[in-house]
Amino acid sequence: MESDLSRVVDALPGLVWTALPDGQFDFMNRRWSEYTGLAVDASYGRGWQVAVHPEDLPGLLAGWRGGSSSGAPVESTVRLRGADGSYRWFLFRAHPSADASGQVVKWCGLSTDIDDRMQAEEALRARESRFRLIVDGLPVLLSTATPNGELEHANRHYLDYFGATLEELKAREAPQNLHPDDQERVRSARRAAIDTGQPYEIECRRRRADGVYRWFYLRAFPLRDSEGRIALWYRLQTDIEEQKRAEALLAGEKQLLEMVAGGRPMPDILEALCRQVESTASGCYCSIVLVDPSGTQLQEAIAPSLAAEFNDAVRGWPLRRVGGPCVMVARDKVQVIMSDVASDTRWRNSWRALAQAHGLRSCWSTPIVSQAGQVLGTFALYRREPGSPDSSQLELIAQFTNIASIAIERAQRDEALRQSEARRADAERELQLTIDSIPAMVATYRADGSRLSINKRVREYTGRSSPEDWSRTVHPDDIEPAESKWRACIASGEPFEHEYRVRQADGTYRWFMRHRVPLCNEAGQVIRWYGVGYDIEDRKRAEAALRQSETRIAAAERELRRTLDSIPTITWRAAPNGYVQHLNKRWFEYTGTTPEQVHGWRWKLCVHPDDLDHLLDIGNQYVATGWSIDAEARVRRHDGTYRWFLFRPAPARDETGKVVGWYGAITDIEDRKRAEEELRRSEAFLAEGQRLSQTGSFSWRVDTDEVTFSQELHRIFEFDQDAAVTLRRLRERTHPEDRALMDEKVSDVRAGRNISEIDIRLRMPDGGVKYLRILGRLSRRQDGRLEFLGAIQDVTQGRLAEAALDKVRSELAHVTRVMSFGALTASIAHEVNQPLAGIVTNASTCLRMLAAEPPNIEGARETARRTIRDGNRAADVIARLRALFSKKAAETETVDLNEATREVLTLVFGDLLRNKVILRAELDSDHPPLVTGDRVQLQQVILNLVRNASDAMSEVNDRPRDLLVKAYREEEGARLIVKDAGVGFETQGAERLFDAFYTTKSGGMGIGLSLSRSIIENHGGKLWAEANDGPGATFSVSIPRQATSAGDEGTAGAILTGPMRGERDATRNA
Amino acid sequence: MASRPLISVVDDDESVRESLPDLLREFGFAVEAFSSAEQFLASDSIRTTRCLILDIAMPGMSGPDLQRELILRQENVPIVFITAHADRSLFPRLIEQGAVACLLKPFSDTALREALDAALGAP
Repeated sequence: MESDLSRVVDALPGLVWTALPDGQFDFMNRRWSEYTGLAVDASYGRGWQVAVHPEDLPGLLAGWRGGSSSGAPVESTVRLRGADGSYRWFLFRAHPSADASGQVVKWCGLSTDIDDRMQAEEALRARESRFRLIVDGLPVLLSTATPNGELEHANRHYLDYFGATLEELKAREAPQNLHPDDQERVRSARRAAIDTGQPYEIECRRRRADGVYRWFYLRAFPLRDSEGRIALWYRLQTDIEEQKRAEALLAGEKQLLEMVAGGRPMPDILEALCRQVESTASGCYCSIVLVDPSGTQLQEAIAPSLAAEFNDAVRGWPLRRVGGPCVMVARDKVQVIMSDVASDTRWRNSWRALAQAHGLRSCWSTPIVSQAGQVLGTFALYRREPGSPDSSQLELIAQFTNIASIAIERAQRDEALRQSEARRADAERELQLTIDSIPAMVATYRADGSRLSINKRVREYTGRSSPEDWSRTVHPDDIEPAESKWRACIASGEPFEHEYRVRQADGTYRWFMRHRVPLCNEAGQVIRWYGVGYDIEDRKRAEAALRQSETRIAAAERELRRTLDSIPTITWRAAPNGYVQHLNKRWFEYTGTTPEQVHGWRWKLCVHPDDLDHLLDIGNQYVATGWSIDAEARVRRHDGTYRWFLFRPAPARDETGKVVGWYGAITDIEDRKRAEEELRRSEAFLAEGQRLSQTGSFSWRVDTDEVTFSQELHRIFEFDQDAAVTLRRLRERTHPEDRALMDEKVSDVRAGRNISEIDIRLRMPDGGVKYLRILGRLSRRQDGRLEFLGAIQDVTQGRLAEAALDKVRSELAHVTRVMSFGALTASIAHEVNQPLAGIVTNASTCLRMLAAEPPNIEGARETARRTIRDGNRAADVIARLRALFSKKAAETETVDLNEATREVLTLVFGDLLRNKVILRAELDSDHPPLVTGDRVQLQQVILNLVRNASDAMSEVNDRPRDLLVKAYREEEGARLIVKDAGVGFETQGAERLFDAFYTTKSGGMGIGLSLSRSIIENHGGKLWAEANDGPGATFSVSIPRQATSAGDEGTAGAILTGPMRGERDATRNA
Repeated sequence: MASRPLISVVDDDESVRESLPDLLREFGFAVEAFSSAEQFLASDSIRTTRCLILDIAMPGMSGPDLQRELILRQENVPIVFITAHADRSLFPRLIEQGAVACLLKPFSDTALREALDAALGAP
């Protein structure tokens, strides 16, 4: 039986063995020995253990021991070494056999080869582990969920992101991982997907372990089983935070650039930029500090999130001065990264204190640089924690620094543009003003000739403000020529130059010269015309007048030629000795002679024998002297009658002035002679001239005593116009004292003696006296009778003036005698003699003109007019003399110098104003300065001093023309001071002033300083001059209360007895 | 007609410059009037003047000054001085210098005529 069992045991497909309770093998089947290669003996006891892999043996033994004590079966996988030395995996199982008492008495074991199965499991495990590795390695959040949406699995990335284990996540409410704003959206999307079984995708922010939310792109899709039911949901979440940020930055950038492009104010843009940066880089405060255009100092800080105090600190900070990091950045154009404000050694200054006071711990500042490389400002990020920027922050800084640069540059360009536009506008205004101020019409025209603009002058002239329709202002007669010429110029591009009349606002026309020149572009096409027009009305008028006068001259010439041709004037030519070489046709026509008959000297045959000697005398005279003298003689006509002719020769001279021949005209003056004869007796011929000059004419036919008076003479003699004038009546009217003279002259005339001018007086019926001047000459009439022709002028007015002058002269002579005013007399005489010279000369001229044949009435009128004028001038002189040197006794009275001065100042106030003199009068009314003297004389002194002061300042322009006039009471009398700021005088010249006669021409008879001094000295006072400390001079007058010299010579006519050193008018006039 | 002898009048007094030329023209002369010695010297009339009627006292160049100037220039123009100053003390010296006559204003036409006749050498 035992052998049967043994066969069975050996046939079993496994290694069979039995062991004692302590693990010692006591039986092994054949397969054990075959596999292990161990002999049976070698496997007994503990020998079998050498076949077990040393690594597996301890575990096996430990498990077995445990089983031994508990009585439970033992199962373990161990590697057994085969006979070839290689190990294979075996399932090692042992079952205990217990006795009745439960004590293990034997272990039965079976070891089955499981190596192939183990190998397969191992391969599976390796595959699974690799897959897990892949899933965990994916940079996405990967998870699966139950069909209900509950989390089932998640990859490592998922767990790491949320910082929790899968179990913790499962326990957690899903929304906790979502941004609150996204929770509702995500939940509803998920619910809808579960309901419909459709995949979904959504963007949402997920909360990272550190509490930061990041954007994810979530996709979920279902996995279905073979029956189409949803087995699970896959969820794939991709981190799109960077992408999102980039998009936001892009949008922000776009918005900022739009603001820049929209021309928004730079501070707005920069502030928006700061906010943009701050929203992108959380925890950062953005600050942009601008550098002023000169590049020497900080201008302002734009940092909406920083305190104003912090921002204000930078304003106007000079770059050369040490300051905060922004100063260094702006100055050195470098980036400054200050990771810890507290520890950075570079800023141990007030800036650090300020930064720390505002809780700022780090600062990263970057220069904002223009394209041209100029520092425009700084871009800084501040944080409340220490730290350095990461790469994305650096990128952000670079990006926004660039945008800031664009914004600032753009703003500066805009500003520059605005300024240049403003300047351009200024320049345009200036130009417009210039054009408007040009005293000519200025206009511009388009290429087609229409008017584009006009200047002010055109608007004012035409009264039209619109540049269009210029043709409406052109004179209707001038439009067509002007327009056609203008059109031709537009077509040809030639400058336009034309004269036409332009209508003024008041409807009148004036001539204008218009010039227009084209402006061409590079291609040579006319793009504009520029025109000016100026008024040539006056020139036109002058031209017209010239044309008119030329026309008249031409007409006159024609007329003259006709006249010469037709007038029976005889012309002749003679040698220097008077030998006649030629006589014209008229001579022969008139005399009826032939050239042969009268050639040479024989022309004399035709002259009246009575006139021939006279004519020859005159002829010899002018041949001898070469002077042309007219002669009159009768020439016999062919019919034997004689007619009066005027012989008027003219010498022809060579260059040296020698007479080389004679030309002459012989004019028939018979008619004129007759007319003159008539005229001579005409009563009315002089009426007009006589009346004007108060001159009458008369004729006295000596043989008949027939006297003819002109109308004016009737008036002068106060005779009735109708009553006959006789010598007897004339004698009666003559002043008794002059009758003898009259008789004498009458006798002279009767005796054929000529008389020169005589002066007589008339006594009029009313007892008045008239002064007459008679000028005449005796002439023999053609009939041989004597006639006295003359003019009588009423010179009463002039005589009265002369009489007045004589009186003044005598008075002056008296004054002169008394006062020895020789020079003054001369001056006065000069003043008086000038008009007298005019009067006398004019009167002489007048008489001569009237006595001439024919009388020159117009000339007489003019000279008479001048006589009157000069008479008036003489009268003026007299009036002035009277006023000055009235012989009326000087009044001696008590004079208040204040009052006297005030009156004078009132008188000259207007003059002072005109001379821009600033007058200050200090007249002490409480203590009136009283003196005894002649008020008028004293006032003349004051007037003189004030006028002198005013004159002395007439050239002063660099200082006020101050004039001080002061009068006050002194111990013994009164003092007057006149102080000017004028040209002054040399100190040593003070006394000489009183030599000079300080008057002006217009006041030629005024009194000078010397006379002033005389007056004051005669009042017992003193007048002196002193140079001022500053510019100008002071004249002082000191007068005692009672003149010390009052008495024999201090008053009345002796007032002027002081020394008078002559007039020096020329000192002022030269 | 042959030209009349030219008389030049130099006087700063306007009424003389007006009245005297008219009288001189009545005498049959051609006349030019000047308000100053300088004006006369600058004119062309200096060459053609046959007689100069000259005021003594004038601003600027006086009559005697002009006389001296003409002598220096060797312009032998006869001069008749006229003056409103009654001071005759100057006269002898002026006559000595070659003046034809010195007339006190006012002077009569006959006195003037005589002076001119003397100047022009007429009988």
